[in-house]
Amino acid sequence: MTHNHYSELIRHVKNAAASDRSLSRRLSELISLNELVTSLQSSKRVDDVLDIVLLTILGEFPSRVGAMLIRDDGVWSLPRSKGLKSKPADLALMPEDHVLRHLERVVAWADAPEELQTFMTHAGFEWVVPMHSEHRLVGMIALGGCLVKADAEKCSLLATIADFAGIVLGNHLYRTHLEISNRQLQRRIFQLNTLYEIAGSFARCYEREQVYDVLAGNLMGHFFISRCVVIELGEHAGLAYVKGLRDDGSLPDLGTGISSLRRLAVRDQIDHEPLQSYMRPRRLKYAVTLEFDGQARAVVLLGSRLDGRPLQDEDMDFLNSLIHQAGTALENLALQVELLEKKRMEKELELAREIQQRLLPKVIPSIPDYDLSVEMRPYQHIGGDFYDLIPLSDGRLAICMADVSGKSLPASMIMSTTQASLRALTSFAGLSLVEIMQRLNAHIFESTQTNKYVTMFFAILDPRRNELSYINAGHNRPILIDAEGKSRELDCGGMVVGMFPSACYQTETVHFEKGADLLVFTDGLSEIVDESGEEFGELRLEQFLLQHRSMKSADELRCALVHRVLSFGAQKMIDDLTVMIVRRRAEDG
Amino acid sequence: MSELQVQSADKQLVHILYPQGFINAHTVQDFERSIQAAIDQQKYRILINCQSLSYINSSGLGVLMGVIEEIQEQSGYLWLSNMNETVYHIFDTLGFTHLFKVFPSEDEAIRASESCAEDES
Repeated sequence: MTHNHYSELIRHVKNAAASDRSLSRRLSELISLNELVTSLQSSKRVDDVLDIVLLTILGEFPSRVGAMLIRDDGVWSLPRSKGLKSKPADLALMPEDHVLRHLERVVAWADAPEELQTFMTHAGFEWVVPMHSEHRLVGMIALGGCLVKADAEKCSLLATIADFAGIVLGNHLYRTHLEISNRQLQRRIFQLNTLYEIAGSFARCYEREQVYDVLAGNLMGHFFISRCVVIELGEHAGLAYVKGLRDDGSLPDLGTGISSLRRLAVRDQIDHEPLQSYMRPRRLKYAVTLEFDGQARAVVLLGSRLDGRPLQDEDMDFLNSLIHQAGTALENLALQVELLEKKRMEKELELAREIQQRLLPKVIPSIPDYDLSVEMRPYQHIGGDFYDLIPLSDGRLAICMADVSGKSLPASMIMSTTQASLRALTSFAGLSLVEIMQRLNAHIFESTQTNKYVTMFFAILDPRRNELSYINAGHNRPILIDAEGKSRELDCGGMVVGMFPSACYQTETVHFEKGADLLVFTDGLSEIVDESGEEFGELRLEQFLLQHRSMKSADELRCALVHRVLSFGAQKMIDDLTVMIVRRRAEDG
Repeated sequence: MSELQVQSADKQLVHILYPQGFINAHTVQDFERSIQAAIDQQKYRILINCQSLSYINSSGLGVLMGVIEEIQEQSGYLWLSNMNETVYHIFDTLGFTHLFKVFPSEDEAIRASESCAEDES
């Protein structure tokens, strides 16, 4: 039934029973209740509800003082009242919940619990009518200075009005709470989205300033902050970022002591006078440090919120998460720089290795009646071993194998120098082996640090006379095995190259018999160790050569030897490994 | 085409920016540049017409925060108009609508700027 139909009906009944005063009064109450419900249903705001209820009550129950008390979240408020202006009710006097739990539907001062009486007396209330919603006390209608007598009928009407009002009020309060939670929830969702988005933004930063820009922009936008400054600490100490204030560029010496403000600190609570003095004139209110590896790397300073609210606990999760992400982003940048540096080094080493490889002879010179095979395996990217085979104009062949002390780039440089010098020296006709070696020694001594040296086996093979003249400058002793299977070590020579400027060298010439094998190597071959730590050693090399004399070619012998040695050491090299086999064929070609 | 384009126009006393698209991590710097450009030309009465703005993130709002003090110091203003529901929601969620004046339409903002100017004179 619509409101109009209902009113119509009531009008009819009213007319018909106009003579009956009591009925008429009840009817008028009914009409006023009907109007109340209708207006309550259409009112959108809590204040409207309170107004309507209060006015209806004052209409039905004329009084000088009327008030609507609301209880929301256990807190009492007095949003609407009539006649109370000069003497506000003291809500602090409102009794505890348990006192109010079992009140009558309508409570006269005389029937009220003592605590409630105190409150009523103070405010000048004679009657209170509790309002409930789902058995929960949501408010009270209070009246004082009543101009009519409150009989049972009036009380019943008051109680009915309070019942309606309670339900509507309860719904309004519920809706308000819902809206508040909804808002909080949406703020949270927005924060989460922001965090997600920011994680991506940080990942795309390749400079520290970009990290600060992302951080500042989001903090400022999220918290209505219009000023932000970032000061870096430690190795990059200085003003790193300014937004929203004019930067005079001046930065006091902050010294030490901003070790950690892991939690956002308010200016006045910061125990650091220079920082405070920097912040005060610039109207910067908060400070927090960006950290990684347990070290503060930068301090972020923020102005106060433009909406005047302080930053609160509920903001801290979001803020801390942003700060943490920014710290991580800075760390990633630092790691990236390190990584790039490492990559650059690796590239350089790679280049050095390429140069080194290019210096090695590309083809093994072909010498009549002789069969040569050589292999070098670098241990790391570049090492200190090298060998060279230089055909001389008179048909002889210069053979060199060397091991430079140290590793990596410096060793590689010495190696290049040594090799270039040696090539130059051997190209002069008429220099003896000893002269070549002495000049090389003097040159290397001058061009390297004192603690750098080269061990070298240098020999000249004369294929017509089948003679090998050599100098062993502190190098692993090559093993020569003759046709009868007798072995000897080539150990004549002198000191390592480059250590003593006036070192003397001696040379020896040995006959290279048909079917003889010469093994020249570096310590990367002989000093390979097995799992128990035992070296392969020269003796095993010699035995191997003796046992494998029947092998058809130098290549085959070299491969088998390297395979054997690496198997012994479980494929673990200890240094560059260089092996050269020189064999004089058993039958002249 | 980039995710954000910002046109601008001067109507009466107001410098109007028309961001079109998304103000997010990728585009926020473009947005900042267009506001900064207005300020560099000493146009401190700025209206952002959000008609074609689909989204703004918190760093976009951060851009507004970063210039608001300078604009206010110059007796200017930074107003907003024509927000769609999404954008209004973002502004409202963070409480920006309490700090920044928001007009339903560009015309209303321009009328308001005129009465501002009259008050000054």
